[in-house]
Amino acid sequence: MRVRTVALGGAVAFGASLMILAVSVDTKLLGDNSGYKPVQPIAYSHALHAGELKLDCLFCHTGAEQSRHAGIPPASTCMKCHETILNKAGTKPGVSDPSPEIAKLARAVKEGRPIEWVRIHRLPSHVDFPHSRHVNGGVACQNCHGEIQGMERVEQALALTMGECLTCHRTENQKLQLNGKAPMAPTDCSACHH
Amino acid sequence: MHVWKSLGERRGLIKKTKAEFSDELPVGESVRQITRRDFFRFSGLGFAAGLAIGCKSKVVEKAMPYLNAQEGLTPGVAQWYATTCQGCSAGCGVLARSRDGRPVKLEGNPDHPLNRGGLCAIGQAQTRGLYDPSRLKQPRLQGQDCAWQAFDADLAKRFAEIKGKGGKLRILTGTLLSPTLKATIHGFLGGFKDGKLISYDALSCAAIFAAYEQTHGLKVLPHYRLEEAEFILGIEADFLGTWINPAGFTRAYASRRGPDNSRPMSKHVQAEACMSLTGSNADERLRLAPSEVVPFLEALASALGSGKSGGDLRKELSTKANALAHELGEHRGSSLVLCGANDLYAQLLTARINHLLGNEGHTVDLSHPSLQKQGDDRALAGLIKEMGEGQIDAVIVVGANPSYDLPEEFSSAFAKVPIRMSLGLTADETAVTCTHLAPDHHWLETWSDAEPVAGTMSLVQPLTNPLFQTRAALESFLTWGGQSSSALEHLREHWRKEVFSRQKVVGDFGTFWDGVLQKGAVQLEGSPTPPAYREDQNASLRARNEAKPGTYELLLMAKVGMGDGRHAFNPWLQELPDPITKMTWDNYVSVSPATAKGLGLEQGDLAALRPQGLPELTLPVVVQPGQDDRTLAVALGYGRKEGAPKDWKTVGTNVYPWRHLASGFLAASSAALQIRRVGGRAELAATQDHHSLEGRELVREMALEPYLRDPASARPHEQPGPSVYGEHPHGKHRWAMVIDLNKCTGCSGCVIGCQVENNIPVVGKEEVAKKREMHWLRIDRYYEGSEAEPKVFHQPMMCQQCDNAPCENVCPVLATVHSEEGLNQQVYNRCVGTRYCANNCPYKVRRFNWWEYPHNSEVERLALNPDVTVRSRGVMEKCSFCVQRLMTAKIQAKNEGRELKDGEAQPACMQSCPAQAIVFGDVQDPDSQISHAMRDPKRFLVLGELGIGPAVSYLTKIRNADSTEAKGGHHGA
Repeated sequence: MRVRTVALGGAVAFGASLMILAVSVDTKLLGDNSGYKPVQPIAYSHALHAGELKLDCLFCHTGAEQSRHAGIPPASTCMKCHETILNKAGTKPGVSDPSPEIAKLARAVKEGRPIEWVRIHRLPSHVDFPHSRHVNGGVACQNCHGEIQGMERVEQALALTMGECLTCHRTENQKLQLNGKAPMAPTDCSACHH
Repeated sequence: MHVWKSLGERRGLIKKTKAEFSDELPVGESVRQITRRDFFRFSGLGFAAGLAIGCKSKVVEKAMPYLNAQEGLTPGVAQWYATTCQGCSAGCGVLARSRDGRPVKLEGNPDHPLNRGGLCAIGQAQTRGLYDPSRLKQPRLQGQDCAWQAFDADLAKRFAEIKGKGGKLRILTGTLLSPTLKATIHGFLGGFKDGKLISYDALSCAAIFAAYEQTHGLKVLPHYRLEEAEFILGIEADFLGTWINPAGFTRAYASRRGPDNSRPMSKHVQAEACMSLTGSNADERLRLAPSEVVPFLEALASALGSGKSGGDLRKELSTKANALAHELGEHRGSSLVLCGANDLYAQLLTARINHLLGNEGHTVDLSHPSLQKQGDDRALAGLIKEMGEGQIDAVIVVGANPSYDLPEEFSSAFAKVPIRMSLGLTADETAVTCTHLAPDHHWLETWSDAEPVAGTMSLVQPLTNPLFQTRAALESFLTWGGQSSSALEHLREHWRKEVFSRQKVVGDFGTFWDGVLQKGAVQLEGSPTPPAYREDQNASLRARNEAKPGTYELLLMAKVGMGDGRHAFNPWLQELPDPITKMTWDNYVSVSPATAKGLGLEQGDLAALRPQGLPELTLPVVVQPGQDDRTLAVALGYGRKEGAPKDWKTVGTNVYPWRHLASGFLAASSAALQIRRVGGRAELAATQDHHSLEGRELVREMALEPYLRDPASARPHEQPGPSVYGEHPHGKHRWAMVIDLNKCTGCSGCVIGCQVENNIPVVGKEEVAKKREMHWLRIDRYYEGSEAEPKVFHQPMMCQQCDNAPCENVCPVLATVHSEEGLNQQVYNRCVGTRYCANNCPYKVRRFNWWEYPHNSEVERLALNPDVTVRSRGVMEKCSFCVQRLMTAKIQAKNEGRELKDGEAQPACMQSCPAQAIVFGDVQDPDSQISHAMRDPKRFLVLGELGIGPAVSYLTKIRNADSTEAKGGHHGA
């Protein structure tokens, strides 16, 4: 029986090492999705809207202040401006060709078809992350989402692993304690895992 | 005080197992030599594992926001709407929590005058009925699914035919709480020459109506004000469990229990045949066979100075009646005699007794009668006769299942009616015999209203769009009556015309309407003086006592979790352990210990019962301490077959066929009942006898007199044991809970509330029999004293969130750790399923997911609470003090930049309790409710001597009796 166990163990190790060798060029941890930069159905540019035009994050992502989900704005939010703004040059008709991306948006609204955005930032389902607490607590969006205002196409900047969350929580608590205040960021497991 | 949990334990029949998990460990399996095939199989496993480790998961997930922003709807934020529960005919106010457009949790509405925030087990379980895949999804005509247009066209033709020939149409309903629906139905009936509305209740109170019609000329059910009663005598009336308005009665009753309120503690005496929830809470309990109810009432009335006693009462009962009459006489105007027997003479006596005691206008409110039971058994008997004679052309059944819960004569008469229509939600026993099916909405997706007590009105508003192609009963009747308004429009109109004028507080209808929608209920003005009592000594109504020696009497009762059987396919309710017997997934015949011994019956044996002239039915036997020796009791509401979900095995036996309408009132057959043992044993799934706690002092009680003399004497003598551990540091809050055993009735509303809130799976009968039920919160029921007349205790038990938790020390992966707020946390994603923590827990409150308990159906999955993780196989779980609700409250407070208020963060159990028996809060706040409760001298810890520092404590039960000495004597059979 002992021989059998050793032989089986050896087989598993052999197979695993083959595979690990094969993927050893890429040494990211399981669940680390940083660098994920998928193509979206509409090529919305944060660099233009948040960067150049300086729209506030919360102008569109209203859920971030009230809910656990920041959410993606409904098409009606976009149409607030893009009902009339058809291209970069402004609203002057006939100046240049209307933007095909805005046309995609308008078509979706007209046909009553929801826009299927590709979700980039995703925490596992056993994590309850409350956006509202962080936004109201003064954490800048860029802290976790990177310099969105410079991204033409959104990319996941951080790994968003639990280690990163705890590091920030602990650092902030230390800062508060150094200033004689009570720690605010929970480090109890069940604060997020319930 | 020797406490025992079951007869088996008391008689030393339960063998204590050494291991908690009694299955054999699979060791020493046979071994083969390794083969080439095995080698590649296992290296393939390693390859795949390496693949999994190496690759990133690239499951593409789509996020689809709304096209148009919904006003007031933010994804992830819960919305609350006030509505009215329609789980039974009590009409309690409910606040429904809606997440992303669907209701996931129901809570009692604190602003509703009847239930004041509490909600019973059946009410808590109602969301499951909405997400029921076996619901009818569209109308059915002659067995074929069709569209509403075709259906209505066919009906229009048929109704025209009936109107043309002056035919008869009847509408048979359960109690209709909705005044608007009733008015609409009457409007529809007005188009017919002979159209009538007949209501009946499966659990009937028609005799009370008939009695008050004779005594006051008013066909009413009084509203019983238990909060005004200092002395309550309940005779065969389970008012805390199943009778008329359990949640409302519990709230009123509990406000007078406990010795430290501003008003004196009430005294409760219960006389009944089978141990009911109400009987288990009484200060004093008498055993009374069904045939002894009338003689007992006669003796009471006679002792109070009216009428003569029949003389056929047992000596000890007649002595007791005299003593009770004396005590009742000391509480004139503040006593209450309740009788649940559906017998006219018994109700006439009860009305007389309450009148003699001057209770009318105080505890018996006839100015604002209860509308929670409207059934008229005599009208029902008339209908059955007419149908049987072939006189009726069409019958429409709304909110009732008469083919199931009425005697057989109904079904045979019903078959003779050419047009039979049911508005039921499922293809139940009645619907499968109908020609037309016009399924109603579930109450969570419809507009309606309710008037449970005259003058108290509430609205029913939908929480979600109708899931299927069903139609509101209100709209159906409007359509068939030729009107085309929607349910909402019609409802608003009705309220504008009929309700708005009955109040003087708000001047504008729009504001009034919005106000009622927001608050949930409104109390209207008007307090008519009822007519005076008219003496009626009609002794000829007295039924003959048919009890013969050697035979038994039958008692048919309802169970707390099942009621009349309308929710028989709700798995939460089927798995709810009965508060008294702790049985799940079954009904059975309850037999007293002495009778069982005499018949040679043991718990789990199969017995065949037969009332004379009625079909014989086989049922498992449960030996019930405290039961009357001559009575055999069986619960109604079981044995349902039609309208079940797929793969559902019939649960229990249907004993409705043992009822009759012979006396003009729906009652159990009083004919001689015979019982005989048949071979074989039943598999009973009970949750009692588990987790034996070795006879330690788990519940404490005291008599009222000694307590009032010296409250400090209630303090437990034993001090908590020493501990080797230091104090935990605590952060901003420290949570604790106190459960008041004076208020807790054992109703188990908290058990279902917890199940719904925390996505606790249902495991089924087989697994419960293996002690694997998943309820995080259980109610332990203890007996004390003799088998014949025991005292009963109910003790809710959940994770005690110990400071020095034995479970925390033994987890190899630190999946259970202590939080800085005093909670013992269970982190599901770390748990590897060692189960050492459950082994170490002295309270045995940890539940393990032995299987993947799937929610297979897409519709069923809608019932899940998105705020709580759904646990997979191999993960341990337990009460978390509803940490998700605590976090939600804390986040809300922090976002608003303020402190958390006392009572803002409430676990589901505390919120749902109709008796408000659970107090929870932050002990670091000296002004909080919990700090106040912690200082109560009656407070004790369960297993406090272990020194593990539980955060949950209990308040000693005070009995309003001369002493707490158990009754050791026996009363003969």
